[in-house]
Amino acid sequence: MEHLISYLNEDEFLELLKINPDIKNADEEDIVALISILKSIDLQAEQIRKVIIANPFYLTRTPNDIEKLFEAFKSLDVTYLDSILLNCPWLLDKDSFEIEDYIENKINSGLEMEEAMETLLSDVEF
Amino acid sequence: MEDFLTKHNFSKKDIKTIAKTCREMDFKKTDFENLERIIEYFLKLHFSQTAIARRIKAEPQLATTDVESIKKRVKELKDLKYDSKDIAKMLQINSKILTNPSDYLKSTLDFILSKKIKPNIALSMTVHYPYLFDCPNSEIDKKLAEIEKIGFSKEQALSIFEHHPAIVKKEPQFLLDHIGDLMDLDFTLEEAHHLISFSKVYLRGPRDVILAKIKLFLSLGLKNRILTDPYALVANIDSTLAKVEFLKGQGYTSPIHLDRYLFMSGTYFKNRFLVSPKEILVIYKARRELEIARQKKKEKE
Repeated sequence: MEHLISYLNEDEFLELLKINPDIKNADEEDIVALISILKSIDLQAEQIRKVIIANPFYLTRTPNDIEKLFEAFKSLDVTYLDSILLNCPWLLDKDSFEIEDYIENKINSGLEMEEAMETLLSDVEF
Repeated sequence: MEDFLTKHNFSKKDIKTIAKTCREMDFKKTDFENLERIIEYFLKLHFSQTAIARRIKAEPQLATTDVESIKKRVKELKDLKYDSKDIAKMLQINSKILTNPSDYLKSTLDFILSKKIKPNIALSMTVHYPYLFDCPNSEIDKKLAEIEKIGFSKEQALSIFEHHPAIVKKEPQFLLDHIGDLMDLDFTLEEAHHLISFSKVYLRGPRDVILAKIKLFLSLGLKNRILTDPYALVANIDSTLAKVEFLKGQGYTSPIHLDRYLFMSGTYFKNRFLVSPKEILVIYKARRELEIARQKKKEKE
């Protein structure tokens, strides 16, 4: 957890563990990869800290699933993923197929692609 | 076992994780056969290979659980009206759902329903926070009482629990800090209680991102919107700022206009105002670049 500790203070880390006790089973290597994925979309250190605190479940996702999730966003022409995730950190709980299914359902119900994306980003119940 | 895992595309690291658990649990031939069936079943539930290895590491008991009892538990979850996608999601976070007695699920759900929370919301709460099943009902009740003790009404406490079930693991100071933030922005205590419990995202977003949105709306004279629209704080701050700049440039500066146009859907907004749909993107990009540059400068300092 050394890598994680460099982003959080001890109290914050313990607080995250209380909410998501599975963090203790996560590999250091995966944590490093997950943080590196957030850096790759231009999130700065302080922003990464905020995202992790807001969504402690991100730390127990698999890096592969997150890469697929980001690919799904990119394939939908989502720009500024950093801003989107800072505003909606709960989207990091999603899987790529959920995003694709959501958009497909909205398009099938008559929305344009752009409207479907907007609905996705503001749908807090999703 | 290794051949089986390799055939199912497990990485060397995941194979090592599973093998370690099997060794620690002193696996026999029949245990390996059962585990293979469990793994095949999890793959059918769309678990990734790494997720399976992690679950076995986190909950070793799972590796020796009879596959038929796992299937039975998944059926129970379906009978409780969880859909397959949500079941897979919950199990990847809290696999004790599969190994604990079935009362483990029912007791929590019955408790939530006894609070007059709608059944679909009760399901959604446990999907978003599957560790809720690990909280004894008495602990949840204690937490709700604590929230009431710091000034929230019974309904507000339940609303906080609905929107943010992980609140059961937070100290009262967490809410007190949020109340303090709002009072620093000249909200009354009653308004602070109302906003924290009423907004769908107040406690789910990063604290200062939410505060930045509130400050922005206050500066625009839109306090009433924040207090009456539970989705007001869902708005992306960057695109809201871009829209504000655009609207001001068009001469729409009054709170009435801003309230009317800022919360339009993006499509309506573009149809109503833009000569070219690219126009808003240009403003948006300029703002983001400026912001990133500022952030980098701040970090260097």
